[in-house]
Amino acid sequence: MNSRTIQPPGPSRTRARAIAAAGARDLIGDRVYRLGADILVDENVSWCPPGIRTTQPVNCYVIKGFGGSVLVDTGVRLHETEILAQLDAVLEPGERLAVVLTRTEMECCLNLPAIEARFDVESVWYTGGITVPRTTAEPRRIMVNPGTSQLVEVIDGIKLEFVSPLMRLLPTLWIFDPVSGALLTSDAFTHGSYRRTPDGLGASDGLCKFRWFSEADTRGIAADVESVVRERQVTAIGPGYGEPFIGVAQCATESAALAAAIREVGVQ
Amino acid sequence: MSPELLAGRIIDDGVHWLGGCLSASAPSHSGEVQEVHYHVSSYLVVGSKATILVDTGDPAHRATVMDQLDAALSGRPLDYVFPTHPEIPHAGNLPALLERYPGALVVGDVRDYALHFPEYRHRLQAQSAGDVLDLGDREFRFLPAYIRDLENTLWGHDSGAGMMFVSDGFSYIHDIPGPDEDDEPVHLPGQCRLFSSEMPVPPTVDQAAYGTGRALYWTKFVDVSTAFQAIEDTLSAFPTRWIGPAHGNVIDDVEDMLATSLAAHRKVYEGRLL
Repeated sequence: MNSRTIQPPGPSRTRARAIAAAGARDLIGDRVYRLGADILVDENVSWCPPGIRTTQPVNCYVIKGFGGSVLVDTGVRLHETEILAQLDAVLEPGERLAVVLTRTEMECCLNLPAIEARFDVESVWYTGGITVPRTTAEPRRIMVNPGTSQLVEVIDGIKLEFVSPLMRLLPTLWIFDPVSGALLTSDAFTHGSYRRTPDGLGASDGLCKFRWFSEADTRGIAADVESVVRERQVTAIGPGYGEPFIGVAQCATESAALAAAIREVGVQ
Repeated sequence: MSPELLAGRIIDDGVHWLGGCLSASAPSHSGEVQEVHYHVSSYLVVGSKATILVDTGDPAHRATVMDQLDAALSGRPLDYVFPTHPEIPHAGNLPALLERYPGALVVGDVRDYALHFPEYRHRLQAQSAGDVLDLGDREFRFLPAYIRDLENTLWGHDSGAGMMFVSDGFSYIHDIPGPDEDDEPVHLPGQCRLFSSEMPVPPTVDQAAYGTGRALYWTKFVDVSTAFQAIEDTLSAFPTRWIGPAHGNVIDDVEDMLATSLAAHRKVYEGRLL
């Protein structure tokens, strides 16, 4: 049996309606849900490309298992109410939860106290920063060398690959779910909202945060982006902000486009 | 934290060093787990007319920072909070500070803060590099962050004491605690809250490179010579006796440390210390 055919039981019709009503969206069937809401991206947002004013989703993700679920990032505090409601809808009452932070930046972790107060969070996995704003959950600080990955059983029954990408500003993890093929890419692959503007912007507009690329030899970074996606048969790319990309072909196309943009901006 | 470190330290007239070191576990050279420290510093500048806090400290030592700040203010209000950039050790205590000091404004490059602290969006006051706050008998000038991670980072300079606040720049540790397995610039206990000249021996390039390479991944890929020229130009324009990093000992031998830090960056960039 292909591991990707193993799925947790799907939600009842009633629960599915509640999930939809709360604003959570499925990324991969009943396995991976996308939580969060939209923000206005303009000059008040540091990752906004010059001249852009548009809406953009800020995302976190729930990976559902049989014995519990994993929340990847916690969304921005502006969306705290929405995310708590979405978690209420997606999680079963009393369901065990582990949290994985792709970075220890604020848009990833500031809702942790509110989530801990409402749900049974047993552990918080993170890389980089010495502390995260957790209270009772067990801290699981993990180091993964850039350019490598580790397979981690985050909660009983859910093994995730912690990919340490070369495309980073701070210590960063991309989270790959081998069961669904979903790759959750934190602050990379964030250009999905911009391409819908009349200007026809592309992958390079997701690089504003990585200004240092313009002073670096970026060929290795670009190659790493492509190989991470190619070697895993990624079926969906879920960024921390921006629209996701769905389908093996689309993911391959986007990784090639992002890699090309990274090469173009660098000094080789 | 030891009792003597619970209090802040006066650096110069009107400048207080607050915060302290957070404790963590890390592998030692022998492979055993040992306690290491990670500087998370805040600085209070007290002018005759206004006060400004540079960086908020980490929620993990919120009570310590708040107590130190209360003591240093001696009944004065806090007028400005300047988180150099929106990361937990630099801005994580903003809600507690803004609640405690209802007249305080958040200043600096305040992009993104309305996403993180929407209830305080009306207290955000954007500043750009070159802007100056009048504190009365001294000026606080916002500077470009020549060495940074997040784009919305600014440095600052206090004309009164001649102190430059450099956020993640000049992360400076004295001893390398163990194998190269940590992404943060940690150091051994007993080296907290010291000026660089008070350390038993001056830091080596390797030691400075350890901190640099850990805190700022991109410096492995980028030649920082241009940035250091800009830093030297800024030091010439604004006389500086002290450099206050968020993650390192306060530097009081500026010229020597500038040379050491530049050499450290070059060593990281040349790949000898990845």
